[in-house]
Amino acid sequence: MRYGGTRFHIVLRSVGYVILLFVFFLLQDSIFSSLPIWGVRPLILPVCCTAIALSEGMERGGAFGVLAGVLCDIAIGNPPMGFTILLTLVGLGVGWLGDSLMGRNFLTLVVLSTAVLLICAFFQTFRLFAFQHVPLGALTRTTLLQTAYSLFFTIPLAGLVNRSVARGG
Amino acid sequence: MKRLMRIRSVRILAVALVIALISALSVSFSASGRDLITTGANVVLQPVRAGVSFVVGEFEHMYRYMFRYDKLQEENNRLKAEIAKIEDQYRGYDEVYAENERLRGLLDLKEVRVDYTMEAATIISWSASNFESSFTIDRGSSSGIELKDTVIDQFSNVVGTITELSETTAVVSTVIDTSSSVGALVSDTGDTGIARGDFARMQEGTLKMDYLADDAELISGFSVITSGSSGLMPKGLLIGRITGMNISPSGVGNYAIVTPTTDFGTLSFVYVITDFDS
Repeated sequence: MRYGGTRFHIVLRSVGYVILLFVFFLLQDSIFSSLPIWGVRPLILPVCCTAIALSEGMERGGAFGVLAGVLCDIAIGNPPMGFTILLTLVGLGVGWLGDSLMGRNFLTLVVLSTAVLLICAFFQTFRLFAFQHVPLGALTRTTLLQTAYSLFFTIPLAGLVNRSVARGG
Repeated sequence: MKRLMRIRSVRILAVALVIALISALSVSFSASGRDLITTGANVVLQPVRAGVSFVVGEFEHMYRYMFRYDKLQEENNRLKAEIAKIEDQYRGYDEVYAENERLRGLLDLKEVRVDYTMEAATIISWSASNFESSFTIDRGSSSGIELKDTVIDQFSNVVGTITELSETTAVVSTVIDTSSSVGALVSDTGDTGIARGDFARMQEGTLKMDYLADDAELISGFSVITSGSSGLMPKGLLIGRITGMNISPSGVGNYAIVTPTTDFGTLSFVYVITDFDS
């Protein structure tokens, strides 16, 4: 069962998630964009979307996926609105997996976040590989570094989302 | 219940698709390359992003002052040494002037005119993507900026070109971005080529200059400037300096590694050249 609670608790939690997404958007956009590790910056919003969708289920996961996608498009913006569609699908897909097939725990979050980050990287690199003939090795290196760096954020996000659920009922 | 959830999920997906469709249509119908939703959201978030960017900048300045004092001292000493060297070179000015004249004649360069109309802009944010090198500035089409306008820093070093445009903001793709391609000239030898962004080089902060002649003899330290061949960019702007060469036995695929002279790490203000006399 996904996390529920009264309507009031759901609204309260949703407001919390919106604030969480905006805070992590600003972190990704303004803080961590100037803190690269081996020249690579983290991609935090897809991890946020995964954490929220895993705990909230398919329906609300999809809705927060739309918001996370729009914010990700503002931060990255290429191809236009691509992340809006991608993260909506991620929200729906992860929410469905949480509802039906997978348990809601930290390990699941790490596994699903890894898969989502790799899908996002494929989405980001496809144009470079297919049309600009960028060597696969260089793209793979950046993809793996980006995924590893971004996965660190599953730790605070798991805590924040769990706390939000605990408070929201 | 399950059926209801499925219907709601389809609705959410439909909303996302409608948003994407509106954006795709707005991109198709606008010449700016920027979609309606992102533009609208950008307008709303611009003050917040600018505010956060300002606060982060202030913290960075403080950090630099507190923790990089030794480095600054070292840089100061290095610059003093460079000034002494330049003063020494200045004494031989006549000789350099004569050589310059000879090279000008050799390269058939016209006098570089600096009749630029420029628009000063502040960098709001850098793209968070690891697969491109671009940033957003706080000036857009309402300030007379157009797509493909050249962007330079305060020392007239090339920074990049405008690739996306909205009313109040614009996206600048830097010279090291994989989409960047600039007609270039090695000012010391007159060799021409194309200075292009390369993905592997982008993360090292460099770019490559290819389409060089087989007999091109390039040495580290040579300056690479814009050739102005496309007519989109003024001639004679400094792109960077050669810091390496990649030579193949056949000569095909030779390229020079160019390190941009602009410092992207500390860049916070830029100038957009909106008009120039070619």
